[in-house]
Amino acid sequence: MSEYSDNELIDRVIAGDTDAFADIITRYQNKIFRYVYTRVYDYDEACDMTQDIFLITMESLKTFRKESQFSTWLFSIAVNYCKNHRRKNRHKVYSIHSTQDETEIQIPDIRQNQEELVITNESLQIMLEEIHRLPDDYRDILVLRDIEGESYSAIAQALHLTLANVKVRIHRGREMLKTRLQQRGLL
Amino acid sequence: MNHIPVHKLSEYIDGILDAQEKDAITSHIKECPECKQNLLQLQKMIVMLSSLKTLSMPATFATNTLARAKKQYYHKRYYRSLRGSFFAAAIMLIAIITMLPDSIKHDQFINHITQNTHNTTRLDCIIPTNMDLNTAMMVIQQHNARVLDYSNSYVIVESDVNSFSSIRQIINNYESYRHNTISNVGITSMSQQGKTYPELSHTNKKKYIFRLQLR
Repeated sequence: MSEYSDNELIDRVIAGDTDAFADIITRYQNKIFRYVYTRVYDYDEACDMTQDIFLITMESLKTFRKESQFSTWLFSIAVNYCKNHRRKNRHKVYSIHSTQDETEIQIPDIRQNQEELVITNESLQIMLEEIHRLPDDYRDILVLRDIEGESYSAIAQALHLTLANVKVRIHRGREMLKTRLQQRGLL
Repeated sequence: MNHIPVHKLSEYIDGILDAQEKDAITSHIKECPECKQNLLQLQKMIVMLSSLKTLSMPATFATNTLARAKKQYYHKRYYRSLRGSFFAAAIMLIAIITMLPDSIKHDQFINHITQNTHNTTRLDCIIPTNMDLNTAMMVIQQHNARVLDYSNSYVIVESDVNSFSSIRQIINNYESYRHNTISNVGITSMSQQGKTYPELSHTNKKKYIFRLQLR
């Protein structure tokens, strides 16, 4: 991966070196994909949507004012895109038991022994299902905080929330997910 | 003993509590198995969530996306340049038309009218008259004929057969031109320009276009 900073890569793209955008994509593709995938829970659709988000980002690059981190700005594009996508496809029903998803999604074989914690592929699948079922407000925030490890302030910027709101939603989201995972026998 | 609320445990895990609160929770957990259990469950869930960070996309994604982005970028640039050329051409055309001498524009206007009017492809005849413009206009209006163009020296009129006959009759009777027959004058006048025109007939045309040549 490129050693250039985000802003350096952006300057190069704006100056006409479109190939530099490949480094930006490589740097953030999985992050955006995970966010989109937990929303739509459809591998192919998540790939297409992620691609669209990067195309929009490339077109809007000149409008990035570098007042926030690029990753935060990119996330806010992804959030808006997903909201619009949901609005346009509100009648579409996603199957959460798609066998295609189970075969294509690249879930690593993680078997961690951490204080008797064993994470199997089955438990990851259940986790994904339950995250997908969370209300948008809680899901978005848990993905950003607990999967991507974003700071509270970065989340607040990306989702246009106050810090107090972020705290409340993280807490409520975790509590809701914990209850559901307990019901599924995962905790 | 009061249990620690879940949101405090959540903030404890994220490390955003001040030192005093953090110490209080640490010592409470040592003595309270229920809160300890809650904390462990929360921590386990967060570890499981963080393991989803390994979900990834196909390796070719960046290359494919960049290819599509480039294609889109060049398409837009191409159409933008086309649009620019079109506007430049339109502005040039407007400028040329604006700068054309009035006489040329006038001829184009007449040609346009005479070539596109229904059932009339050219002037049918020229009728010299001693009338002035106001009188001619009044006569034309009285006969429901249409003025296509006019100046101080002529009026180009479109009319049906009956109006044409009436207007011709009035002009024929007009005092200073009484001795001339209109049809002869018209045809003679046009022939002088080396052009042939159809004989005027009430049956072969629905509309006539003629020029009143004023005094």
